[in-house]
Amino acid sequence: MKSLVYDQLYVGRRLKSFTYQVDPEKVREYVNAIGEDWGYYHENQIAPPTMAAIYTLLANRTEGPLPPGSIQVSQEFEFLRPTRFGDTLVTIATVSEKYLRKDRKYVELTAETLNGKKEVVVKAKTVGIWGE
Amino acid sequence: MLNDNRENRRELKSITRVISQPVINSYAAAVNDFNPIHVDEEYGKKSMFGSTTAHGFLMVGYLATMLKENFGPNWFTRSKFEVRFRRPAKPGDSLTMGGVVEGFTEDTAECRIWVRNQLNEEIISGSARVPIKRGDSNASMG
Repeated sequence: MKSLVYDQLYVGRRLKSFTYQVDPEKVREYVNAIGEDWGYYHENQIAPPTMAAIYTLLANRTEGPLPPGSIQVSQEFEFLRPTRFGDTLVTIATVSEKYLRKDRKYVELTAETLNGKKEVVVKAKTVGIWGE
Repeated sequence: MLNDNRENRRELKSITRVISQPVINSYAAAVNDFNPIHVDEEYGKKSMFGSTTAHGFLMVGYLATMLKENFGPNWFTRSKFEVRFRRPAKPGDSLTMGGVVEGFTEDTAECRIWVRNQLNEEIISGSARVPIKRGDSNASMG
């Protein structure tokens, strides 16, 4: 897949959605990888909120990877509801800002993840410097 | 309204983690991110960093663990979290995830959070707004 092209991004452009089903086995793998206590998540049938946050990043790449040399400057998340095992999460990212600063191209993408009940689980904002 | 009385400032209990290539590889498998800068040691040696680097979100996961240990799972809902990536973490680095509560609103704790390496260099800096129960600003956060 070709990288996203800066000049084709405009404020308000919605990228294709990213859909993911929360697989308990993948949650266990993630929890172990960050050295967390699986028992808590298993007992409550939920995923750590930062796992849902990763899906928002994947939603930024549904129409192609960021070009080489791109740098993530900052990430902001608002966690509104827990992510439950078996949930089907749909995330849509939108270009919310685009600007030049010190000859660097900045892009801000905001994303919103909904669960199967159409409830917002997480909101995210990513600011990045676009690679050449 | 934020109460920024300095008496309310308190250090969060920190946690430490040591980065190694197997730790990075396990995380890569869990999140399906096999970018060579993280998992290919030869590629890493030739890169501007001189070695592989840990995924930024591995450390964000560590920060989440630190917040959970301080606030309990309260922070899973109605919380805000902002991070800036300052420099990479590499295999062999010993990381400390920590923070300080800088103030309280009626129902949230406002925290500055960080990831620092063994040289006390900031790898990640950020902030978190975590819900607390009313009246908890002078009581246990966990």
